[in-house]
Amino acid sequence: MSAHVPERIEVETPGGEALRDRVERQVFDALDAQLAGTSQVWIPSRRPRRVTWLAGGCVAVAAAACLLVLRPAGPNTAESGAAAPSSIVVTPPGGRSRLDLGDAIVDFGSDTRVEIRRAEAGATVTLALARGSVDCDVAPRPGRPVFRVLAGNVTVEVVGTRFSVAYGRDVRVDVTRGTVRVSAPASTHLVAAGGTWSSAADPAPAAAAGLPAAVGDRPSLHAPDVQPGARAPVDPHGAAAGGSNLPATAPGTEAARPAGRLAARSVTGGARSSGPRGHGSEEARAPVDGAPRREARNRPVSPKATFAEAQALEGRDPDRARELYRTLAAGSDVWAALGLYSLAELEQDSGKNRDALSAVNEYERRFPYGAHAEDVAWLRVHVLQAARRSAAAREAAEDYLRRYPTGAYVEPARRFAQAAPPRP
Amino acid sequence: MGLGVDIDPLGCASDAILVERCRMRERGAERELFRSQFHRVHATLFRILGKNRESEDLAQETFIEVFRSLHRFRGEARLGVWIDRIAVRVAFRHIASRQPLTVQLELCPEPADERAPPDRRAHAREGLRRLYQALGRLRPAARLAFTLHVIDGRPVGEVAHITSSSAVATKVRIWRARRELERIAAEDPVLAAYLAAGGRKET
Repeated sequence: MSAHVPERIEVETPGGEALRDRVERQVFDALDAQLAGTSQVWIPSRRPRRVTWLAGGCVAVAAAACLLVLRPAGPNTAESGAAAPSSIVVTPPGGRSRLDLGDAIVDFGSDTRVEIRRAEAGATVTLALARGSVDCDVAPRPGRPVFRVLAGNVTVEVVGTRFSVAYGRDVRVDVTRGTVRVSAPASTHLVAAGGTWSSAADPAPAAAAGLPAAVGDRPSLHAPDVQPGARAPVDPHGAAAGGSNLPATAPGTEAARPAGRLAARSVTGGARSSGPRGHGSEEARAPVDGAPRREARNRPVSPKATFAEAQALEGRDPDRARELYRTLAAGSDVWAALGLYSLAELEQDSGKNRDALSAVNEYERRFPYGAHAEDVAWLRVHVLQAARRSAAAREAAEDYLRRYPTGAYVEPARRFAQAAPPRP
Repeated sequence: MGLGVDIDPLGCASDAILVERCRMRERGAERELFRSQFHRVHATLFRILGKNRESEDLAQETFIEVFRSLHRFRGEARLGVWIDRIAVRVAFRHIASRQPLTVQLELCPEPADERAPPDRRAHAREGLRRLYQALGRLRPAARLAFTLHVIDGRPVGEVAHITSSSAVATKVRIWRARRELERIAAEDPVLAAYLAAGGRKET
């Protein structure tokens, strides 16, 4: 089925005075707390990806970033392991916090209350979630003590390695990497990477609404065909084997399709897009429905189709995407320039600064007046900065300012050049 | 360079007065600024993220950042545009800091349109969910450019301005996002139908 993205998509937004008043109260409470020099109110800050605040310990307090109530729980609060010492973590609405439990990092969402139980070092770790949500990044468990989350009458036990549990009206489990075992009163499910499970999922609401199967098919809710003990294939990016971020489901379902076949697909409809000037006419319109893909592969492929394929592969198969960008870059037309620019961006995104710099250099040498020359000049600053070559990055920023005094990146370039230490 | 950014001298003057009052820590002025900008900022964040809880959190973060940074506001653009830039930076940080392939768990239920039959509302809601699931697979910069232009309805020049990018780079990002969405929608009839209807409920 051919699909076309319209020029405008209408998305209605929620609003209302209650929402505004709530956020207003939170904002001004935070500002007041700042003025008073207290740290009792959440001051939003994005969580670092990998920060260990308290290695080997039990609980770290996000002192300046959130309100975190941490206190020993009385013996009556422990539901399992009567002798287990426990702690309670509470985050306020809008607050967040992170704990390092040694072999697990737990992020607590807004308005969350969790009791953490651990009898002793090396014993079972239990998070009893009273409300809110936790996002757990847990080392694979073989040889390690059991790690589990209790949410109402649902138990989520880690097989490994990253998942989140939200407990509101329903319990919802989202697995980003690895596999967890979810034990509900009536059944047990093994949820693999990319899958979600919800206690509200049994009576399928979409089916009740009379929607077609594709709508009612919510692959995220159960993984009934995965047998307990089995492991779903996990790719390095944390997605299921399908390479899609659709939840993993049983083989043969839409979400479990192999990734590679998508690559041959060139979706029609791009000719009227707001893309680069004048490239809409020569697209190779590969079949999108029914036609054998081998035929599509054997056809001469236009630069536009190659570019589309390369960008589609960036997430799933960056090596193949690089190869395609290099194929494009071997030419001498506008697609060669775009391919080279995209390659530089891809290398930078992948942290391959040397390769990114090489692509940047090649672009500037071959296409000094190309459509992306200004972007490439600014990309050079970023790449050099990422490579910790501060002096060179500063020079690149100054060079950018000289070449594009009214350019789009003047403001950040100026800030960058001014913030850098003076040259000796 | 025509950025498509609205420059209104009278508006700029009133912005400057309001900002000056805020700098003097006049709480009434701060609330006035908040109330005049909140719904627009929240709507933009919602259209970028598709999730109410996150957009609410990020709106809060945006305004705290705004009040912290007011001393840097030089009045070169409208206050609203300056705030939009902060909101977009906050959204970008948020999107970029997440696991790239994390499945979106919960979309805020779309505000019910009582005029549409229930099955169409449900269908549209599912289409919306799949749209944001697909957007979650895009690069952060492409997602921002696409949502700001196609969903939030801003001209390319304005998107370029508030994302601190060139117009060419912005166009390419929007184009890439469009192609990727078309590729995904080609395999997803519900998303394709939703897109074909332009997000309206008569899918």
